[in-house]
Amino acid sequence: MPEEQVLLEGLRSGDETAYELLIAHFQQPVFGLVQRLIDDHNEASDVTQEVFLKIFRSVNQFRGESSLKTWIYRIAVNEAYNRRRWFGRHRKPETELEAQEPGRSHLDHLHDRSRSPYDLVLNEEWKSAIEKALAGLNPAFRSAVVLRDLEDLSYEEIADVLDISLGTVKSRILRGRESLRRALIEQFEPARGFAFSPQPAD
Amino acid sequence: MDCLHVQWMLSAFLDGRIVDSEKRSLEEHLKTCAECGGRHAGMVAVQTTLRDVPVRKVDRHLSLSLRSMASREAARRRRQVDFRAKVHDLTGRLSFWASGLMKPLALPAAGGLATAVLLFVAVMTSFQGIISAPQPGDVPTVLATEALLKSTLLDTALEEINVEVLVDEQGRVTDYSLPKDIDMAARQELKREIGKSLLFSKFQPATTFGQPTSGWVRVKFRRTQLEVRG
Repeated sequence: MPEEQVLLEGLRSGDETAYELLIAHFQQPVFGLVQRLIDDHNEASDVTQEVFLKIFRSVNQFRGESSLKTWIYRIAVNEAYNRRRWFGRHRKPETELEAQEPGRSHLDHLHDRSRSPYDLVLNEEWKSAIEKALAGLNPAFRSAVVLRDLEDLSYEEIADVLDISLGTVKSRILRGRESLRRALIEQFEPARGFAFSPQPAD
Repeated sequence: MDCLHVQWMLSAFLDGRIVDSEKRSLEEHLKTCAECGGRHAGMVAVQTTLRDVPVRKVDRHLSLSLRSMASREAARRRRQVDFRAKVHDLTGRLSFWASGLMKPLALPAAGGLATAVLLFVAVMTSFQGIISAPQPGDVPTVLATEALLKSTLLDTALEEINVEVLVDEQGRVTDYSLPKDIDMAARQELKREIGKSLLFSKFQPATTFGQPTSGWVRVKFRRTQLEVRG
């Protein structure tokens, strides 16, 4: 990709515009991906900075065997995985002063006036349930599902990012989705409308 | 298509990663099998829910931190690039200087080497005849030689006999010994014959570093011929 080459040349030569462009283009995808993989907003910010630092420092080592996006995602997944492991060993229980999600205020929920309070509550419940299910997922399956369903990467790109075979990608996505489905079924009783029992078609 | 196979392919089906023939069979199966249909609906719901969960935006603080870091890293990279450019420039200059220094010497050095080789070949060719021509009185370069039998007159009745002879530095026989397996009667007769023959035999003495010295020589006498072994 010519634009990618130009961007890489700029990064290698220290062109400030290229650095700005890379940040503008990738900060949100990287942050979103990291956040999905480690569940903690503040940690996600730190990891995102580390990911970009690693990108800047190792841009000379990028050989162009994969796309720039895949290479960046690979760094992000590895950093998130490392942080998650470190976090798992060193984290101590903390009590938040305010019972609200980090980075979001109660006002955020009131902006959408098109939805009824019931919709909002149900929607929040759904989001909370899926986030909880995602958090409980095996990290290997989680990376595959997040890259496929949230980042919309192809199976080949996922294989490249996670450095695994296509067969393993397929298996991990299947098992990840299946685990999520089961976790959601466990959270929602059938009476609340989350029973996956469709009727056979006519 | 059985349920196990369908459930294994459901995820790939959702992502459009199966061939048309399999897709048709799977769709047919989903229409008739409630369990597989339920799993399929569940997976669709999971996928939709996942995509519906909004991604939190990068906050202003993180964005500023990233830009600031990018600016620092860009400056650092430029310094690196400048340093490398300077090193490259210096290397180029040194190379050019060394090349300029050696060039005036290159032709004379090559010419001198070629002349030396030619002279060596010419001189060695002319010396070849002188070196290979033998000179009278040359001493052999071998360190030691053994005594040699020059001539003899032997008349013996035996088919074959080995005699060890001690030859002094002037080529004279000073002692000899006969084989021990000869009986006493024949031995006396033979000793007399050999002794007589050796009186008329001529030997070349052994040498050490070119100087004559005494030494043993084994002489094999035969009825028709004789062999000498040191």
